[in-house]
Formats: sequence, structure tokens, C-alpha cells
Amino acid sequence: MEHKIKHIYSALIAGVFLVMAAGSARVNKIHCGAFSYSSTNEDKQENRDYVVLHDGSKVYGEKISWKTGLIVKDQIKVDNEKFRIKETRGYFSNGTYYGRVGSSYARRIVHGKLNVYYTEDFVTSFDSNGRMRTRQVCAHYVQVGEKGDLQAIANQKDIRDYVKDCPKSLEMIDKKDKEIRRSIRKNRFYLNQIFVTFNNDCK
Amino acid sequence: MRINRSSDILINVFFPVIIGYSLYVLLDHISLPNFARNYFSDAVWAYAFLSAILIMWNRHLNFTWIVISFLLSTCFELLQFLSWVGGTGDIFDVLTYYFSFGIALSLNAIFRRAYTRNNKSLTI
Repeated sequence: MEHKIKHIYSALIAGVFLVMAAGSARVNKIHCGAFSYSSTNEDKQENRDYVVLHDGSKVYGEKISWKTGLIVKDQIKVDNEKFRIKETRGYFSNGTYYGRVGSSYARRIVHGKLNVYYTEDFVTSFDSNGRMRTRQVCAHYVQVGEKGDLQAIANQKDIRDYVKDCPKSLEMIDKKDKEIRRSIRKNRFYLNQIFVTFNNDCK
Repeated sequence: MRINRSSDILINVFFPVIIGYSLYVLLDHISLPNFARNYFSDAVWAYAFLSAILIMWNRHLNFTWIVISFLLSTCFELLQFLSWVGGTGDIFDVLTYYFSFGIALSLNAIFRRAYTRNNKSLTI
């Protein structure tokens, strides 16, 4: 095969893999702090910690801890009782509920017909001066009801898809990017309010 | 071990891509260790990519395209870091790509020997 043709095919191979890589990643436009993380409307009556299993049953305990990783078993412990993380839906501890996503948990910040969760990770990269820096990366999820899977949301469209049946919520999210950012700056609870309004029968 | 070009492509390009894609699709449906969730798909795809390049050049090391592969993967992560393309730029992704490229290059001699035995001569 001529060299020239091989170069062309090599370039095509590179192009295909780049498209595959780009296509498999979504731009996450919902950055850390876009939602208010301090607010939560969990049941204030509940003062015991528990783990929720797949069948909905609760296992109460004094102390809950969990671990996940490459060489450790993914498990959650309630006192001395152990469960595989994927056998659970979530757990409640110190007034906060955490829903399972994959083999870890996300913190719930809105509770109702639509539940909103978030996780935060630290990603290491190099800046323009070659210095290693660590930055916070947040992921947000929505769950329909108590039993649904946590689905990632990354942008305005994802939020709109969930709240489209509520005109009031739709009006809040159906704005230009700039306007939404301005609204969030004025009111840190703005995105939370979109879901809270939906959960309150659109009032 | 004897392989022909089709088998080489199947083993070192097609299957890794399928494995990576399957993992990617199954990410939200099965529990995976965080390493697998975050890096394994990228690792197998990077291996498949460089293997495809090496196979294109009949397993002879084409320095230009090997360097281009390293540069492309680094630039891609940089573009993600700058939010010019989707995803999150992460230094460990770059290290994962380099590691996978290293494995592909290490195995290149083995597959090339299998080729040569099978095809008698291997000309570029």
C-alpha cells in the first residue's frame, strides 16, 4: 500500500477515535455551586440512621460507613451488618439522605416527586505554568420517585426534560444561559426552586 | 501464535472497542469500582487506537504517527480541560492513555513476529 494512502488511513483512524471519545463525553454545564447544597427538605422527624435496601426495607443502626475502590469490596456497614453497595438504594445519616449511584453515593438536596442529588470529586490537572492543581468537579443527578435510578443531568435541556409538565418550573429554566446564571447569582436557591416548585404540584 | 491481519484487527482493535463501549454503556446500570468507571474504558480505547495505527503500518513502528498519537491524546484532554470539547480534562486520563499506548507498543513486537511467521515477509 502506498505511503500516502497509509497516512490518509491513519488520519482517518485518528479522526474516528477522536469522534468516539468526544461523543462519549458530555459537557457538564452545571458546575459546583449551581444548586444550593445547604438546603434540604428531609424529614426532620427522622433521627435514626438507616440503610435502604433494594426492596425498600430499612436497616437501622447507630453507625453507617461505606467503602468502594479497585481492590476493596464495595460495601456499606450498618453497625456490624454488611451489605454490598449495589444491594442498596441509599442511606440516611445525620439528617441527610444519600442515594446510590453506581458503586458510591450522592447527597440528596431536593426531596419530593423529583429528587436531586450531587457528588463532588477532585480532579488533578496541570495549569499553563506546569503546576499541578486540583479542582473540584461536581455531578448532579435527578431521581424520579423513591425507586428510580439516579440519572445524571448536565445542562439546561436535561432539567427542562424533567420539569416540562410544570409551566412555572419550565418558565424558570426556559431562559437564556446568561439569564439563568444571573438568576443563580441573585438567588443561590434558584435551581433548587425549579424542582421544589415542581414537587409542590407546580405552586 | 499465528495471526493474520484480520485476526489482529479483531483482537487488538475491535474487541477492545467493544469492551470499552460496553463498559461505558453499563456504567449507570452496574456497580463498578471507581477506577473501572473512570479510566478503564479510556484505557482500552487508547490501546485499540494505537493498535489500529500500528496495524495500518504492518506493525512497523512509524515514529511520526506514534508521536501524533501521543500528542493527539494530550491535546484532546487539554481541549476538555478548556471546555472546548465535552468531558473533564484530567491528568490521570493522559497517564492512562500513555500507559495503554505503552502496552500496545510493548506487545507490538510479539504480534509482528506472529505476522512475519504467517506472512513470510512483511513490507511497508
